[in-house]
Amino acid sequence: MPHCTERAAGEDWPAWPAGYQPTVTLHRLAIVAVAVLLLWAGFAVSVTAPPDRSDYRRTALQVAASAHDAAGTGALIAHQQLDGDVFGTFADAAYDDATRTLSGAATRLTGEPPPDDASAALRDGLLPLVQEAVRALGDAARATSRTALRAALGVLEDVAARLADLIEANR
Amino acid sequence: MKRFLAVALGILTAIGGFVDIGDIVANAEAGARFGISHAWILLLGVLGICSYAEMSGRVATVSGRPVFDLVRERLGPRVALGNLAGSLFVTVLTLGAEIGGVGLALQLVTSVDYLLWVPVVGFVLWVVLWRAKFNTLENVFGLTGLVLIVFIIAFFRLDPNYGELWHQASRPGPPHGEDWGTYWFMAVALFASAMTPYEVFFFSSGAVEERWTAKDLLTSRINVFVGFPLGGLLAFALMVTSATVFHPRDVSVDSLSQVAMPAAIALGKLGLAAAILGFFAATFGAAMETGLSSAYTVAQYFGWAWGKLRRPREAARFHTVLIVSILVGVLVLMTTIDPIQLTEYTLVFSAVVLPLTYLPILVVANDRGYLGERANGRFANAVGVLFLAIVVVAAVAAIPLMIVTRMGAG
Amino acid sequence: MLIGFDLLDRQILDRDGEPVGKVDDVELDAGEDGVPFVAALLVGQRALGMRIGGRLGRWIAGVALRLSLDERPAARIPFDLVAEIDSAVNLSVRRELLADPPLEVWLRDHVIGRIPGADDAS
Repeated sequence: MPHCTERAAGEDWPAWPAGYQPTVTLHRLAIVAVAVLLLWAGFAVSVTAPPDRSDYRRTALQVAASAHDAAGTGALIAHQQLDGDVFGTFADAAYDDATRTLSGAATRLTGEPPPDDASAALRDGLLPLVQEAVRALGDAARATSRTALRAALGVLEDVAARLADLIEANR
Repeated sequence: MKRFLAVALGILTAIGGFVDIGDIVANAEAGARFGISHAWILLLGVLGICSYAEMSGRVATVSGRPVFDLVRERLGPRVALGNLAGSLFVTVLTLGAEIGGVGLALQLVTSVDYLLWVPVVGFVLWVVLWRAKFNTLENVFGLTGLVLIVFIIAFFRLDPNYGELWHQASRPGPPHGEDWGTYWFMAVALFASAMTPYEVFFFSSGAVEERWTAKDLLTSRINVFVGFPLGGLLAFALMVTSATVFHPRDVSVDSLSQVAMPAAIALGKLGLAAAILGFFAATFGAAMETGLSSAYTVAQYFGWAWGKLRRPREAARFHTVLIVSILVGVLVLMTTIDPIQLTEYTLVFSAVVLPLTYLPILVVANDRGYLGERANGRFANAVGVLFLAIVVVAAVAAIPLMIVTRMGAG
Repeated sequence: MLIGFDLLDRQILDRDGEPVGKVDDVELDAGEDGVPFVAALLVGQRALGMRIGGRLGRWIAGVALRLSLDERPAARIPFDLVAEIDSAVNLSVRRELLADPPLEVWLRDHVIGRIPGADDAS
């Protein structure tokens, strides 16, 4: 409903009636504060709890997928360079983007210790592939000759294929 | 003849103007991860925005006032304030994402990091909005955005497997490696990118800036029914080229450089240059639209003088909101958040805010006080209500999907 | 005329069609026979804030009060300046004759007006 004020011009707005205490507001505040505290506690518990095996497996597979994306993209860029389809600044930017994805993946993998032996085995299979991808991507990005580029391309395609196999085997 | 040219120009600008960083990112990502099994979502989104843009255009041309101007009158100051707050939050975030997109496009041709471009782009954006004519802006960036047609050409040059693509499109669902959760999350993001909230408010205010009257109703309709579908076609071209190049290799797209690659592979350096130019025009154009849209909605809520058609000193509050919006957008980017990630989050928030945006339009378009006999008929209302229902479903599902799929990662 | 439906939150346009603001609130008065009538239109964030009510409304009103340069509660447009009410409230006078919104004036003089090109529309 529209609220139309009834007052003479120049008069100020009405104040609270004398003696009125806004207790309802205090109750509501208390309830909200308790709810927020409970939410925060729950959040703190879930974030600081150590990861279990399925969490680790999921993280590892995401890392593998990211690494596979970066390696696959790196191979694509190398192909385009060999075909003369791209100019220098674009290739540099594209390699940078792929490298960023890859280093993000590597950091995530090395950031958490594996919770059990099976997870450790997964990490041991994945880590060398990620490292090889990092090396090959760097080689492709700074390659100055077609031979060097083709060599890096070969490694990138190989690593991408092995990463795909690893993902399939662990799905 | 002159009138024909004006209409043709309007269509052309409409096409280029309807692809922004959200469309670019969402369509490329969907194509890479899901093939074109989301094609039907894109179609749905285009139909939805056509329906509501037609209504907004009609309201503006017939009543002489933009849709948002009328929201407060019809829905009351409280509801309209909620609408303003929601739309403004999403639009300013989108503005930040667009500026980021411009920076990324510039990084692809210079070797300068996008973050260094961001303040420059923000400043140039403001200068352009301060000095250039509304019409000129629309024409230049709309027409330049048309070069995104290169992706349609690239698609045919890539010699794709049409049978496989048809199979993906006609059997909507997650391919190997994805699940229904991520499929629907991507669907919501795509739908939100097609039904961008700021687009209808901008179109409506733009109609008033261009001084359209009731006799321009046909122009408005042609703009909508030719422009938006063709814009949707450009977005689809991004999806399908990404599906052709990245999906068979099982590679996800998460950078602007990847989106441009199909054009390079198919058409070489020239295709690549055209693609980047198209990205630049689309994102810069969208940055202008989101910036203006933020200022339009605030000014129209409070009843201030607004618009580029007025002298800036006579619309000081309007221009101040514009400057502040650009500043906030730039500041958000300077937190070094990845612009692609910012775009993804913004799409989710857009989805949540969609009902707030579209319900008032439906209400206002039914008002005979403003539109007389041109108020919504039964067909317009049926379509409008249908899409409003879809929009509500998307809005409700957005945040839960985001949480359950961990932002689509699965 | 129903105040809620036809008057509140309408755009106010001056004689030249330039926007003046929205009808944020109305001031009622009672005639000699006790029948209430609309004495004036109230424009401004303070009036709007008080009308929206609740904590949010009082905050809006408070911000407006801090920004205003004098003690006036809200711009007040006497109802006899209203010429016609259609989809907007049309006044019979030009904008210049009414009180300037303080925020607009301040921004014009200190910010926007100082930037070169502020006099050119485009």
